[in-house]
Amino acid sequence: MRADSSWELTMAGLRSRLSSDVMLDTGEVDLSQVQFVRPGWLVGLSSLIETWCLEDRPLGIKLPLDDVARYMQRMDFFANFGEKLLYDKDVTRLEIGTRHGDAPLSELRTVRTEDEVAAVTRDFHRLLSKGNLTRSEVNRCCTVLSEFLENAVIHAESPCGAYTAIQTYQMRGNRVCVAVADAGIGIPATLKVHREAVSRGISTDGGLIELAAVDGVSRLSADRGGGFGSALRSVGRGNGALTAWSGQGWVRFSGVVGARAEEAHRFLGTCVEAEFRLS
Amino acid sequence: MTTLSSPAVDLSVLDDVVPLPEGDISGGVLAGRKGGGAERTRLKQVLMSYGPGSVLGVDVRAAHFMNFSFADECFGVLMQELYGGEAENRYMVLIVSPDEQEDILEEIQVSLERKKLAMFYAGNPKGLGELSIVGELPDYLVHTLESIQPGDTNETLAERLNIKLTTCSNRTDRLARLRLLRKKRRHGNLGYKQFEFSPVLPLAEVSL
Repeated sequence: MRADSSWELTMAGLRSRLSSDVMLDTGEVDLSQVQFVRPGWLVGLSSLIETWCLEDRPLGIKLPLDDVARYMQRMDFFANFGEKLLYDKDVTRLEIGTRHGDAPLSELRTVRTEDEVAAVTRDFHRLLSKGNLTRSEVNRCCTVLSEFLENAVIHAESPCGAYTAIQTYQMRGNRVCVAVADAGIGIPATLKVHREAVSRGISTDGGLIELAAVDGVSRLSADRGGGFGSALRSVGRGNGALTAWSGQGWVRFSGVVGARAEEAHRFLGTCVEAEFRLS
Repeated sequence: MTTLSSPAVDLSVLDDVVPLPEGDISGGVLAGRKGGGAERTRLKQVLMSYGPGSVLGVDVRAAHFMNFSFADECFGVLMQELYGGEAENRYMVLIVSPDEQEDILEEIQVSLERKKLAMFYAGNPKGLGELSIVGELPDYLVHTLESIQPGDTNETLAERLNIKLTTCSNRTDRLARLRLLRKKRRHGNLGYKQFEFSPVLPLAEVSL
C-alpha cells in the first residue's frame, strides 16, 4: 500500500488508507509520506497492529521522515512495538522528538485493567492540569478518556487491552485531542442482539454505534451503560466533536449537527477520538 | 438539581462527615466502576456503624474529577440499595461545592435521575445551610417535602396540602424510601397504626 502524496495520519487518514483488510492483505504499511500525526491515528494503528500480530505474521513498516518518526519515538510508539514490526530504517538512531511549543502531550499508553484505567486517568489529569487548560477542559478530556478506556477494558474483550494518547496542539487555535482504541470485538458486535437494537430494527454498524451512546444501553444490564453518553455530554459542553469507528461504522458526533453515520472500511475493534477547542 | 424552599437546616447535627476520596492516593481523581464500588462499600460500612436515625455527610469537595461510571457505581447504586431497604432509618447528605463542582454534581444527577432516585446535598457540613436535591424528584414530591413539619401524620399533611389521604400516604412513603424524610410508626389515638414524619435534619427556623 503506497500513498501517492504526503498525507496526514489522522483517524480519517487511517480510515481511507489503512483499513484492516488492506493491512492483512499486503503485510506492509507505508508511512513514508506522512507529514502529521494525531492521537487518533496513533492509537488506531496500534490496535490494528495488535490485530495483525495475533496472526503471527511479520508486519513491515516504511517509516516516515525523521521529524515525524522522532515524534513517534517521543510518543513511545517504537518502545511499544519494537520487536513486533520490521522497519525499513534503524529506529534506534532516532532521537526523541521535542515538544512543539508548550503543548503537553502524553506517551502512548496501554491499559488492561480497571485499576490501570484509574491510574492512567490520574496521570493524564495531572499532566493536563499542568498545561494552560481550565479545570473544565481537563475534566472533559478525562471524562472521554476514562469512560472509553473503561468500556474497552470491560466490554471489548481486547487481547491487547486499550491504547490511549492525548495531545494539545495549535491548528486554527488551541485544541486538545483525546483518543482511545482497542482491538476487541467492536461496538456493533456487542450490541447487535441488544433488545433495543432488535426492537428499533437497527442493523448497521453506524446505527449500533449511535445506539451505544444512548443512556442505559449496555450489553451487561439496563443498570449499566451511560459512559458513552457522559463522554458525549462533555464533548457537547466543550463545543467539540467525537468520532467513533468500529466495525464498518464511522460516526461523527458534534453538538452542532448531531450524529452523522457513514460506512467505512472495517476496523477490528473500536477507535474513538474527541477534539475540543481550548480557551 | 432542585433547591428546597424550606428554611435552613442545622448541618452541625450530622453524625459524621466522611471525606471522599479518602486520603491522597487517588489525587482527587475518581474514575471507574471498580473504584466507585469500593467507595460505596466503605460508605455503607460507615453508615451502618451508626445507629438508626443517624445522618452521614459525604464530603466530595476535595474531588477534582469524578466520571459517570464512578458516580453511578458509588452514589447511584448506594441510593438504590437504600431505596430497597438497606441501612434502615439511616440518612445521607452529599457535601459538594455546587459552583466549583458543577461537573461532578451533574454526573451524580444523571445517575440518580436514570434510577428515579434523589438525595440531599449541601455546600457545607457545618452550621446552618440550605438543602438541595440532586437526582429526580417530581414537583409534587418537592412540594410535599417542603411542607413537612415535625410530628406530621398523613392525616395532618393531607389536610394541609388539601389532597386525598391515600395520595398523601403514597407520597410520604416514597419520600421515606428515598431517605428524604423520617418516618416513625406510632399508635394513633384509636389504637390503629399511624406514621409520624419529620425532616431528616432539624429546621433552623420552624414557622408555626
